[in-house]
Amino acid sequence: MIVERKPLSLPPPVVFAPRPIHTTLQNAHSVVPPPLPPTPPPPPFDPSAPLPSLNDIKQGEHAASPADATEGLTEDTQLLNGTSTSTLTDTSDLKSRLLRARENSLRKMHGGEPPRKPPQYDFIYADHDSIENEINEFYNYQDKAHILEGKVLFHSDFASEWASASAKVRRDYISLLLERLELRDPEERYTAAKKLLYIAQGVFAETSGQEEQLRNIREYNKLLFELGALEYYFGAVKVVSNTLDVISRVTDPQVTAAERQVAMDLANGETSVYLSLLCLMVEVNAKDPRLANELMDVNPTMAGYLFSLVAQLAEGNRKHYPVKKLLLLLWKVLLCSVGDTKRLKDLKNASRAIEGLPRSPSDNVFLKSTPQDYHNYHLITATRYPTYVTPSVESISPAGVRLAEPLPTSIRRQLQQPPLIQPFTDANELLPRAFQESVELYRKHNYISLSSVQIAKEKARMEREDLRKQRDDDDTGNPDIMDGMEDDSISHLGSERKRDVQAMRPGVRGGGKRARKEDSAGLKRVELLYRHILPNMGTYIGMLIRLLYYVNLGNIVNSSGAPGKQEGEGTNINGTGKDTNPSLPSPDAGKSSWTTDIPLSQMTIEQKQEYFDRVDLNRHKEVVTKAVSAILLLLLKAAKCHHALKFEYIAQLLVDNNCAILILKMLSTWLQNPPAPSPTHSDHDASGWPDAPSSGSRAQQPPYGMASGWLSARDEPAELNFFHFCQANKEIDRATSADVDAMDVSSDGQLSAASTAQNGIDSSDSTHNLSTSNSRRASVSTDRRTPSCFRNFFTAISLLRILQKLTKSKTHRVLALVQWKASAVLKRVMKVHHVGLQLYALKLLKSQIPFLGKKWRSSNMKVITAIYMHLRPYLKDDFLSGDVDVDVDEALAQEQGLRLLISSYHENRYGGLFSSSAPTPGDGEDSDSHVDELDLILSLSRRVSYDDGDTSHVRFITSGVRNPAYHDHLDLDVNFMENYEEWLRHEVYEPDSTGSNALWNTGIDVFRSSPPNGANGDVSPADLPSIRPRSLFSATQRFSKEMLSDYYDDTEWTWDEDDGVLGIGTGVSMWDDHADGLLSPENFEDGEMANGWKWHTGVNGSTEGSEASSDSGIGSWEEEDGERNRKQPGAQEDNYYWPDELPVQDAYVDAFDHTNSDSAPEDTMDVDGLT
Amino acid sequence: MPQAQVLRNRPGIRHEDWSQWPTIPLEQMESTFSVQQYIQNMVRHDASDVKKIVEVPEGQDRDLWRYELLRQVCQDLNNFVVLLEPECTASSCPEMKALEWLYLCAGHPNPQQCSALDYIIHTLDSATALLNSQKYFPSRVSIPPTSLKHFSNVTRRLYRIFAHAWFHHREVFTEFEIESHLYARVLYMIKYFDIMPDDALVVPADACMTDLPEIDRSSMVSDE
Repeated sequence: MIVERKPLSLPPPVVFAPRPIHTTLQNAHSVVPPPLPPTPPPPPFDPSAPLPSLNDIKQGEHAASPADATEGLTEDTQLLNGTSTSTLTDTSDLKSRLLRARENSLRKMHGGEPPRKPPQYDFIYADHDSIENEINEFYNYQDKAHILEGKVLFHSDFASEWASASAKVRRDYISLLLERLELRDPEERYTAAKKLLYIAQGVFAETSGQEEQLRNIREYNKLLFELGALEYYFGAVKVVSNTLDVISRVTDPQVTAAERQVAMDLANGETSVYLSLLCLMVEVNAKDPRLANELMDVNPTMAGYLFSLVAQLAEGNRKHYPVKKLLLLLWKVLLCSVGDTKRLKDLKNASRAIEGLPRSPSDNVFLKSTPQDYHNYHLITATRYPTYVTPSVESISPAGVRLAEPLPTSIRRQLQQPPLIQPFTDANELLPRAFQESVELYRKHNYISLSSVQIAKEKARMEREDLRKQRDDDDTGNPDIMDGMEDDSISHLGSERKRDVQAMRPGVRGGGKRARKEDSAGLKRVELLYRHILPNMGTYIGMLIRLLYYVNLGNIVNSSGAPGKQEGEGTNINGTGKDTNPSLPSPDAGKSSWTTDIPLSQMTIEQKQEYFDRVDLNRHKEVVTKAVSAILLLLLKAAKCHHALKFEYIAQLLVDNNCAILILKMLSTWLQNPPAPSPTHSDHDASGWPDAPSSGSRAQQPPYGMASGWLSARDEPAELNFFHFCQANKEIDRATSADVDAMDVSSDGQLSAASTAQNGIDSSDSTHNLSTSNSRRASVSTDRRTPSCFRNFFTAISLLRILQKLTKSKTHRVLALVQWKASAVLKRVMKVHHVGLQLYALKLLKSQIPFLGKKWRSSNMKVITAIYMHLRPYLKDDFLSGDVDVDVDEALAQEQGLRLLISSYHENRYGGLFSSSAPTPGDGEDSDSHVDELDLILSLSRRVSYDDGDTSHVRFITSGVRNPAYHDHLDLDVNFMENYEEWLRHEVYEPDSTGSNALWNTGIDVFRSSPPNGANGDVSPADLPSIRPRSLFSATQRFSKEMLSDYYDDTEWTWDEDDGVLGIGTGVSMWDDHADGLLSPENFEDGEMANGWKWHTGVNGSTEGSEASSDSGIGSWEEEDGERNRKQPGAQEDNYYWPDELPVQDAYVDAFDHTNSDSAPEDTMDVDGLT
Repeated sequence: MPQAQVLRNRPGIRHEDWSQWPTIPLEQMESTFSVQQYIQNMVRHDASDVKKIVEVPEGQDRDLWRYELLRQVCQDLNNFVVLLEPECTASSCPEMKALEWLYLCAGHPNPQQCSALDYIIHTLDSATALLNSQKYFPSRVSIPPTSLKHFSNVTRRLYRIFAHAWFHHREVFTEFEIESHLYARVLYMIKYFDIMPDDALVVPADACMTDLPEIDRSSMVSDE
């Protein structure tokens, strides 16, 4: 019998490999993850079968893999490039196929029953929402009075019909109104502006519907732009802002607070109208390249001026100021003047061209590897196989990119292994094939990033300068040190200018690639803007972050701690002139507004009013958050396109302002509950959602989990919809034109209650479900996706992106994230089924994984799978293999080196800017006098960035990083040299353990390092920064492996997808206790928080308790639902603080000692300024 | 052999010979500043003939012509300011007023209130600076289209100077107008180029000391 000896036949191996295309925001919505094929059972073991030969395996591999791989590749590229019409059908086809396959497999898994799916959101990322939504969000519920007023004013003035008026009549009329904007009399200006605004709003009384109105808005705003209205608007904004500033500074006791408020409300109303005008103009003409130029042309640049307005919000009383409008406008102006995603990409390529780098390859590069990777490889081969010589790193990175030194620990360890000397080296073959192949791979995927080149150049420059300085010093320190320095800086400025010139003159081959003309103009704009905002950048960033904090977390604090009065103030940050109903706010207004019990149609007018106010307030908060996050993201992106160190500076400011922890906190608040599947979800077919429930029935649905409630579309009542309102109120009541005057600027700028109520009744007759966003989305949501709330998705993604940009390849900051247990929050983000949102959470997680410990990895394999599925891999991707041997010192040194570089770059390039722009009395004060109690935490580190006025700014950055231990730019002060023994005694031999521990517990070292005034000890305060190396992130210094293994045992976070409930186990509380220990605003007494509100609650903000800060102990964070009670400080200690640390309480006390002794006068001054 | 034309006032020139060089037709001028010279010539020749001065001659660039006209107006207005100075002081006119309107001075980073004379000087200065700025008007041969919008802004603000003088210093206004016909020129320019709406022209047309020619709209190059 012949035994047929079959070769062992296995099914072709299912290679689980990363998809050949990584997910990006742009393709996130089109990517449906392919189903994972079930793993076939292994064939029964047959001991008699011979071992497969090497050839068999090879054959099998050849048969299976290449075909598969290429097929997948082409399909996916089509998927990605599916913009052309020919591939479009393929794409949708493929998509539906994939979908079906996925559904089938799911069904199989769940035994035939289609599983209850968590909602799939239909959100598609874009730079901004549709124009209708943007306009809608721009207006407040309270603006309606103004809108109506404009209508009446206009029609009483302009006799004929606008739509049929000739072009000349229109132009003349507009010119006349514009002319009025330069008048001195505010009332005249205001009236003219309101008429203009009515025109800019599309003269809605003459339109027949929303489409027509929108068309008109576009047309008229284009006309206005042609007529040069921008300059007039801008002039008027400047005038009124000035007025407002003056009013808010009036300290005349004769003027009562009420009078002042009236004047301010008037000015606020006017501001609001101008901001609306500007916003409509920018919104409509955003595509017009001339607008971008004009926005930069006005003096000062529009964006810069708006930034300064934002900074002014911190000054004194800004009650009722249209903050939301200001922020939205700033965002749009930035978007217009520096560009959207596409423009920024062009800019980046232009920058690359200037540096002599090839264009950045398109997004779908599969693999990347950096010169550093190759360098490491080169070193390792050179050490371990000394007989083989791989080409040096210069062969693949001609740009002279500097490589990291010292080397990463992991590489160093490999280098320590003994060399492997092979005795029989073939002399003919210089390099074995395996080596050749790997070199080839490195070469093929090599990618040199723009920032690495820029940073390398800057480093080289800095070293040159130091060298020169040193040489000059050696030259007996003769007086031409100064000259030498000057020469150098001048010559360097020269080269910087050359760079600009090169950018401007594309013909002059800038590294071989031509920079297109518009690109160079764009780069110039970024530079101009940056130059403009740089001197006060710290203030701006600080203010934006404080706004984020207030709008999102401040309210929670207020509601739980402060009396109702405070809340009332808080709700009205932006209400332009409408007094808040005192009975209005239930503490958690924002949260419960979507779950009112009474259907809208049965509400009384008061209830309705209250309901609208609440909904509007909620929307207001979300929109402010959206605007701020978008501004920050855009700033970061734009700066990065120009120069890496500009970007790093902004990032550093954000970090110093505790932006990272704030972002985490906000995300954790929003995504508290798991997104439970929508119970009514299956009932909605593609068209079902939009005409679904009126607000009443919507409210009767069982409440969603918070996350999904926050992320999915909501039916905002029609009353809040700008277009709806316009259409509902378009009858021209010429009879009333007589009593325009009566209506006109009544003291608080609102319509009589009767007419408002009338509006409410009018509009409640009409449909409630009117929501443009929904109708737009209806067309998009074809595959039963849950309609999403654009702005919240946008916010969440922006925030995650900011966080990622802050921490990307900065070990020190990543370690801080790890310490804050960011992974718990990020995992909540992962619960939201939207790839675009998950993407950045994944990136963040990926960077943390090396430090999270083995256990985390093994219990979170899903995350790791997702990382493989979606993120672009690196050739040397060792995030899983990397061991946890964190070299904290190294990370810190890296961070400090970076800071040094940043400050050197800025000193060199913008040195004159800081000294020359000596702050005017008005501007100067704000940086320091507004260290109010609002955010002790935030302000602590804020001081780092803008300490005493502006000039010390750069110096301070420098001094903050002068760290003898970590780099060689050791600059010891004379004073220190003389007194170092004293220092040794104080700091080394008799360490004041309480002080130092406490200090770095809370990051309060800043106070220590720069007391605003007054010396303590023998060492003068100015020297302290240089002699007290501090962790930039407080406690991370103690970070070590042991702690990780102890504390990152996170079994309580295990995450089971199927139960649909996020482990609200101890994991959550761990997070909360932990993060909030630092951030929790509840650490303050109520009275103090009242003060914290004052920058917008204004006059009425109580000023008592300004001293309360000194005795405020630390409390634990209370969830606002009050489930968990305030814990004793001692109880939480073991939860959070490392055993060898002192309770943080002491830290606060210690800190406050400093605050009170040093900066108390300023604080009180601030308080006085208000009353 | 005719001497080469020297279109210039030599040092030591007699008063009666001041600027008394013959006008040459525009086509024959070869200087870079021919348009400016030509306009100055015409003004010197007969300032009351505003039609001839303002209207764009055949073959001339309309924008360039506007630009040069405006430059000339700014120059000539300086003489007006000299006349106004003793009359219009910070005490007599503490605010810039014309008819019932009060204006804020736009010559500052933040618009603010100035006395009338300051307003006038600031406005004139900023207009001159703007018209001479390399950024907006880099060449005197062609005008970048993006800078056109400045014409109307400058004109409007300059117009207010006349308005103020007319309502508050009428004698100076008349005295100056008789001599220079500058207001007539500006008014005709505004109408001809359709820079401002008629409603905004607060100074009546009979302030002019010459008959303002009718504007032949049909011959105008419309910019619609």
